[in-house]
Amino acid sequence: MNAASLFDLSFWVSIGITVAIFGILAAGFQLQFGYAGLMNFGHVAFMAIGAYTTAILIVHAGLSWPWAALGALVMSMAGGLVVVALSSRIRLEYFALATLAYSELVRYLIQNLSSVTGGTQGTPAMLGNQTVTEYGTAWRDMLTASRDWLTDVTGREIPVDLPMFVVSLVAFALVLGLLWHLVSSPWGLVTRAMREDELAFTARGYSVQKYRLWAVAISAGFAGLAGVLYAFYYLALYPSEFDSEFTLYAVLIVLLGGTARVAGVFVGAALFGVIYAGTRMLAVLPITGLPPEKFAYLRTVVIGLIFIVFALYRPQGVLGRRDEIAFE
Amino acid sequence: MQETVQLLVNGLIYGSILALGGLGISMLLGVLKIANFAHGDMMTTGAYLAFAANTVMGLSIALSMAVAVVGTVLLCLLLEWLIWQRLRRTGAGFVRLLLSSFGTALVIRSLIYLFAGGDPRMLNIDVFDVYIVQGIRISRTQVTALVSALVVVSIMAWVIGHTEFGRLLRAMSQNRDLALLAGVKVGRLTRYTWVFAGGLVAIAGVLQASVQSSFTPDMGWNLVLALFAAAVVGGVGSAYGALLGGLLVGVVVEMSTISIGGHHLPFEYKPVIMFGVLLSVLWLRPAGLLGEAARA
Repeated sequence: MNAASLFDLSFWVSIGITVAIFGILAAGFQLQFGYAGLMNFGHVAFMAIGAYTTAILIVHAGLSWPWAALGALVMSMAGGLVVVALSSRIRLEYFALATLAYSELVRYLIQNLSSVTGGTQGTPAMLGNQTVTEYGTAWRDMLTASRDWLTDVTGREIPVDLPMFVVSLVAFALVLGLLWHLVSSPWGLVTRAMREDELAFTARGYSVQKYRLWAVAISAGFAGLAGVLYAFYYLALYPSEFDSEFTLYAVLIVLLGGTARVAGVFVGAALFGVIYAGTRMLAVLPITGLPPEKFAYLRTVVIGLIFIVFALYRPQGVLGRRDEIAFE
Repeated sequence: MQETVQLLVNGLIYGSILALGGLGISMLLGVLKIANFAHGDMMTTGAYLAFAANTVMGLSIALSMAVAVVGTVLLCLLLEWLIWQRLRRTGAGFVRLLLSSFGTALVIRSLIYLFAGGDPRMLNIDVFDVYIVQGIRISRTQVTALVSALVVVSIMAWVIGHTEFGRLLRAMSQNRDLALLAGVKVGRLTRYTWVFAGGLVAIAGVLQASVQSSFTPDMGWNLVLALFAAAVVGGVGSAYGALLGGLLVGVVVEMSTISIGGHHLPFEYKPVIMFGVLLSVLWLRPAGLLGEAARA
């Protein structure tokens, strides 16, 4: 990467896709944590299930990509059932621990079931080491065709990832719209009541399990969609990618934007994009003198410091309201 | 039979190191109500300090261990001063504490990566110095790890159970405000808790680094859930509980790959077993084997 690429459209297109994918993931975390009060530190598990189910259904079951994506969403939501079950027995302090363990369990299972998933060598090895397996050919061809069409219509050079950028942004907008619709419905209001006081909630005759089930299932579906998009953007998956860092990205977005705010997800995702791009931009500035492979760690230092500073001074995030968090 | 004993021995060694780290987690959770996800990275800090003292500066391994303990304790006290006491003063609940502990973990690990690099490191120890008793292989470092872990945890159990300091600590873990009201110096006691937790986990880090022969900045983070498993299985706030929990988790994880009729579970499944144990304990017996309730 050099200084010129900062003004390159394709750099910003790739940042935009990353922002949209993690924004969708964060929308799921917002629903669980901001509205339902569940601190799910294993949120990445749903994304991993979504991404890998897409690849598995296309390669092993021979489905076309829309059906595989649909199946992936269903599987992610089913993965949410485990988290709901955990929440019914384990109190908040241990819930974060239990969900983190759950996501690591999912990651190691994906890694170890190598005959289905390709193991540590990733999805290219799904059908064995001898061949390179691709699951996204049909999807890629479709996007390439749309890019060619755009080039013909506009007569200009179109960045390779522009169609993917449009798809991800549309998906992000739809997810935010759905989240907005859900939380401003009576269901959303009742879910917030559950977060505030479970005892009073139960005493009013509402079922904690039922409301948690839907909150977690829908957020797992969002995370699954993020996984599907991730799978189609990178066109190859490796189990090591789905470690807790992705969960922390989602937490970061909600923390930056604000808890229990739909707009907070958008603002947080935008700020996350600035941090994400910013730590990559540092690579072109000679002042830091760091080798390029170390910039990822500079980013995680920044993210860690943001966690600490926000926990200390503004736990509700930039747009959040202090009285609307299950924090204290 | 020989395989069984070998796996049991390996499990006890792994478990005794988990007990050392898990005891710190258990104390922090019991006394300060902090789920310290940075504890694994404290362990890594200890290992890298010992590496700097031992391999870079050429100090003996015992002196390097001392350097690691002092350095890690100082880091814990610095974080208490910078972060934890401020959070406590503003009445932070569990989630804010959790966010800071994740943030601290991320910062420490990334800084170690930035300064020490990601290459595998080794302490200057002869890992091939091995005793073979009746076909069971056990290295000198492993014996040292097992013995020092057992000794240190027993001392801690005695301190918590039978000294004035332990009595005050237990009072504080029951109710911080009432302890303050009764004239307990909670601030000083909090710092002592960090001293013990940091010192113990630094020892665990150096032992783990010497047992697994080479280590990277991810070492502690990869072990942090196992440390929590040790603390939770044994029951939060109990030193013998942490010892029991650590040994149990260590032995179960190692023994899970035992061969039955010529077949055995692939070794890669060890982490799966470990997370399975943690989840089942949280699920079946949220209070731990010896300890207070964790139930919703």
